[in-house]
Amino acid sequence: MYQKNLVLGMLAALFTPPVLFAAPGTLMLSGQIRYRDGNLLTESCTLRLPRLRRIETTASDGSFMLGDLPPGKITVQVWLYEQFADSFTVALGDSSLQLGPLQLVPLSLSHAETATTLNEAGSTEQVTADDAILPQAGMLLNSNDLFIANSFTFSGYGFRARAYPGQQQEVYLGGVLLNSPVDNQANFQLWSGLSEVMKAQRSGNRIEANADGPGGLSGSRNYLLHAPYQTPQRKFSYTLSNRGYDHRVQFFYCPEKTTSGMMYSCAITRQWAIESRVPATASDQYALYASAAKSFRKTMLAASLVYQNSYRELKSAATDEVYTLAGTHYYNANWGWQNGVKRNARGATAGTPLLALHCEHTPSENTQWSFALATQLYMQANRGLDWQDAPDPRPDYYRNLPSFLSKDNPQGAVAAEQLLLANPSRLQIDWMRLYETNQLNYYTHQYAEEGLIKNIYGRRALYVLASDVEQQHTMHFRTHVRHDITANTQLHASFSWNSTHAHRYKQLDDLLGGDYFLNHNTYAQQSYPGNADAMRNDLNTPDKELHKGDHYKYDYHISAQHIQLFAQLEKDFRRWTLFTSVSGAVNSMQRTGTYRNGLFPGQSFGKGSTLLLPAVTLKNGLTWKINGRHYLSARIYLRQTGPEDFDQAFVAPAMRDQPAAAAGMLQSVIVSAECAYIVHAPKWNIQFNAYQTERRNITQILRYYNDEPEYQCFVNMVQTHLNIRHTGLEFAASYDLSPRITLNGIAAIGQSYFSNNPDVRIFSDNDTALSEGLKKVSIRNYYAGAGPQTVIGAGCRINAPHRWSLKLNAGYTDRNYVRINAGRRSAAAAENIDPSGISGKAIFNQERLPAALLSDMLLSKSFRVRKSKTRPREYFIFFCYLSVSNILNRTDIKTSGYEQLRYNFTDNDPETFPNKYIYAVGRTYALGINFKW
Amino acid sequence: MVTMKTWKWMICCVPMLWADAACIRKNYPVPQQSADTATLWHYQTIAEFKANMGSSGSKSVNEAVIISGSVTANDRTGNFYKQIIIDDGTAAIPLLLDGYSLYTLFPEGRHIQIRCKGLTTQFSNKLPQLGYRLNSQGTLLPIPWQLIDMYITKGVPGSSPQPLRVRLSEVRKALPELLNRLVLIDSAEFSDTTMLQSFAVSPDLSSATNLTIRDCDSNTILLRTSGYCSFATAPVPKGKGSITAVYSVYNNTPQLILRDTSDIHFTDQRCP
Repeated sequence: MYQKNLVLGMLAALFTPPVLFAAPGTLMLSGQIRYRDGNLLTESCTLRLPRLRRIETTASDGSFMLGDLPPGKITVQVWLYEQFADSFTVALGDSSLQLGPLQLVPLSLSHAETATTLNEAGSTEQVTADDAILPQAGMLLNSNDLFIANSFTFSGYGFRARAYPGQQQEVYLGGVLLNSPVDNQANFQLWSGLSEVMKAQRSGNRIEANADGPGGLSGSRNYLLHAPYQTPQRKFSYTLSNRGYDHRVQFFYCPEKTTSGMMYSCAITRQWAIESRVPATASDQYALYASAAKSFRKTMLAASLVYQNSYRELKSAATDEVYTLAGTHYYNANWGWQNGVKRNARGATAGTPLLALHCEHTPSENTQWSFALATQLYMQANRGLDWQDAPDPRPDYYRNLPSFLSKDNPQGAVAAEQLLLANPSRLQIDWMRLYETNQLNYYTHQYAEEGLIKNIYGRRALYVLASDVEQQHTMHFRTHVRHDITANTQLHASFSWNSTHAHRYKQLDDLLGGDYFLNHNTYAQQSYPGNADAMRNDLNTPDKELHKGDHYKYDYHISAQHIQLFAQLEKDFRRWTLFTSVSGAVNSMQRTGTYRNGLFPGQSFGKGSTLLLPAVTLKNGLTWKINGRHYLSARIYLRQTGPEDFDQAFVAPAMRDQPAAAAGMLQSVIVSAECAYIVHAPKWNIQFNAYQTERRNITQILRYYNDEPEYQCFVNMVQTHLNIRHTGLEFAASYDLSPRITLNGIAAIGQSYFSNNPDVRIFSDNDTALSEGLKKVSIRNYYAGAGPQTVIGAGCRINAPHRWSLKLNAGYTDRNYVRINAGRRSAAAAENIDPSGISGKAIFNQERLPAALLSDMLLSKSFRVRKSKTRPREYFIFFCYLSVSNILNRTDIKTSGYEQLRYNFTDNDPETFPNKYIYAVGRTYALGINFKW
Repeated sequence: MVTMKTWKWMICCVPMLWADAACIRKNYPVPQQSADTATLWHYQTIAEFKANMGSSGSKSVNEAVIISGSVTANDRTGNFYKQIIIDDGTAAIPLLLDGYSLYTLFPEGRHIQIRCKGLTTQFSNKLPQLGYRLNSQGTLLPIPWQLIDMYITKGVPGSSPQPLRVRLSEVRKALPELLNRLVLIDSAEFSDTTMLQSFAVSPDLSSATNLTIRDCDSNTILLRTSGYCSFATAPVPKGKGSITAVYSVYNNTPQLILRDTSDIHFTDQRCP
């Protein structure tokens, strides 16, 4: 008797995209699913065959017999209760296959409620071919990737695998590419409330082969939105938590496929918080989902609608001085008392309906063609305080803090500190003062309209609440074809087209007791005294008084398109797997101004120049299947592209049309290579990765208030020829101590740092000459400030009798560096400073945040209740869990920090604008129950 | 009957009781007498307050004195910097405040009260001022922005204060009782030599500019304007008429400080 590895995880779905309605065959597959300890199941489980779009149920002892199967590779997913538990892939030849007992690890939920991946399964002599259960290369680099699954512990503490930016992941939803042509970001997190729907997904991590598209450095994720991909079930869940929400209610309904071939599914969810651990951070989010599909003989048509709306009140980073004065790391500067109620000035509203149509045509067993068309509206509004000709109202503004006085007025600094310590509410926004200021500011406003001079006397608001609004309308189209050229050669090809029209503007939300507001640029007023036009943000409607709902400051449109062609060829040999993919894309961006800015009347209004940015991606990989337990892989990724973010391609789009190309922007180049060694032994699972990535010629634009004597205004710092290197090692392992106890460990040691000194040009917001200030900054070998560079974790999972499960994790993070201010590493900051002296080190050294110890646990229990005596095989299934994070209640962990971009060049004093930090929240929990019937 | 088990329990409990008893505090600190007994504030007019300042130097205000008055000038146009002028009808005094855009909280006409205990007075070039403390160089510091509410109570807004009507011949010599007060002078005009100037030259050349105001009897007084104020580049009016400004002094030289150009009404024909 020998044992054979089962390939577990949802990888099958990744490498074998669903082929709908393959022609039925005559082969059979049989076997028996068992618990990990070899015991028989006590209830039936569900077997899903995605490629054949079949859902079967085992007998109560786990035995199954699947008939009418065609020859070829077939992936079987095992679902226990309502959740994915395991999967295996078999290759059917010309005869039926009888598998032995397949030992299945009982389900243990991770935090993300993804499935476990442990794999040992028994087999008997009844298995007729060694290759019946196929080894799959790269299995650990999918959604159940051992490293990624175990790195979840660190995700709340700033850890990002390999420190790649968020744009380096492609997201597909309902068959279309979701990344916006405007910023290359996919706002898929908006639908996070629909977690049950989004469980149906396939992912390609990092630079492995990917059927959907070229992917970024972080790979891709494809959410299979439509009804045919959803699990038939009726489910209600409720969660009580003190994390991002207080309560979450979800309902999901997906009936079985009807006899006429119709499939439906729908979901509704809402989660909300009156106030989370951080004061005045309410949130409310709800989402709706509905999908319908009909299958014909060789074609499936599907339509889905998702809608989401969310509102969140925000917290800001703060300096240690403020945290100390407030006496808590939960300090939030964004709120203040107003008539006994906490009012938060900063909030984010987002809403997006998306309608997706999908057609899959399977002309033959070897070919599948899909078309997807989607239209999406997206609105985002980020609200905050705005002011003119008035003191900065933010309580943590540096002039409002005792440290500002310490140099010139030490007595005042002490008195101010004592006052704040005795009255913590003074560290919050003084709403009454803002209202009082507006209500007292009677002012006669004079403006011309239709040739007449008009006077308006009233309370001119100096403080207002306003939102930065972005409205997008995007059309998505994508077609994808999969063709099995031979039994082990597969071709994927796709064409994507995305077209977005975006409208960005600033909107007046609340006059805070004033009667009107003015569309003036007060900084320009200071720069060009006596020039009345300079201060006018819009010469087309100069000096018109503004009321609630009016636009001001900036108003422009963006037209952006993205066209992408992709092809990938995979060849699977007995001991080798090869793949190669190529992709070509073109991005176009154009700005159209609605305002004629007083400073740039010729460069702000109307259509601007069109940027065409081509991109080419090449990807190759090779996996050596040493045997059924050992795999060795190597992959390489090459990409050349321009800035894929509109805000990084234009210098100051809010005010004028000025492409960064004139400032030295180049095509950036990404070169990445990785190798992986994977072991799947009966008790061991091991993954070891090594990688190196070079991102060259990056263009990065930073916008901030520059305190250098020659500027003293908002500027745009354009960094070009910036190189960033990511290199490191990753390790993950799990060991089955016993059939019920599994130990796991994880480690990642990396370095993500600037590998050269970029060219820097500074453009002032208000400089009508558009002159550039050249600057040299020395940031070579500084860390890129992208979370902990060292993480180490260990954990164990105990699957106790009676379906109790306990998971404990401990983690350690270190080498977490703050994000630097490049301007602080310039000649102006280094003037007369000895870099090796105390003050020099204070300016130039990059702060390393303290190491942190983390801990979390998950306790779960599931049980079932028979529906009625007359229906003995039908049950109500309950799943209860308690998840606790940061068990030690550590509130002193700095998860991230950054150097303020504003710097005191006059005194070369880094403490004038000290670093800001975000602290981890303390112990949090989520207590939930899922009910399925 | 005490069993062995009971004895063991008792033996275990003794050290626990001991430890527990050790935690009970035996000595209580004697409460200290409150050094800051209820402060009895008393009101003074600004004239009385100035009288206690003496005639030169600096002085800390140790008495619990409250003065009140209306704001007659602020930093709306930038010609006054980090100060507002308070006038109660008997006298006026500048209050130094360490902030920008003070006019947003202290518009002209607003009534305010100042708790002067802990503050400091000083004669700066013979001009009396009220501020926070002296620094090591002996300069009077403004009241920190963060501490304004400790010393100032803001009242209701009022109407714009009425200036004192004076003749130029009366104020050509420094009059202590008029210092910092809002005055109105009729039949004044800019002298010929300044006719083509703006109110102030560029701050790169000079932080402030003195222009000469005269009447038809050739009495003169300086009008001092900051180069940073919003009307610095505005041309001076050519006619003759009334001017309202804050009466000030630099050592023994009296001068006027303009709040805004709307305080000048030079619409008549110039003096012959």
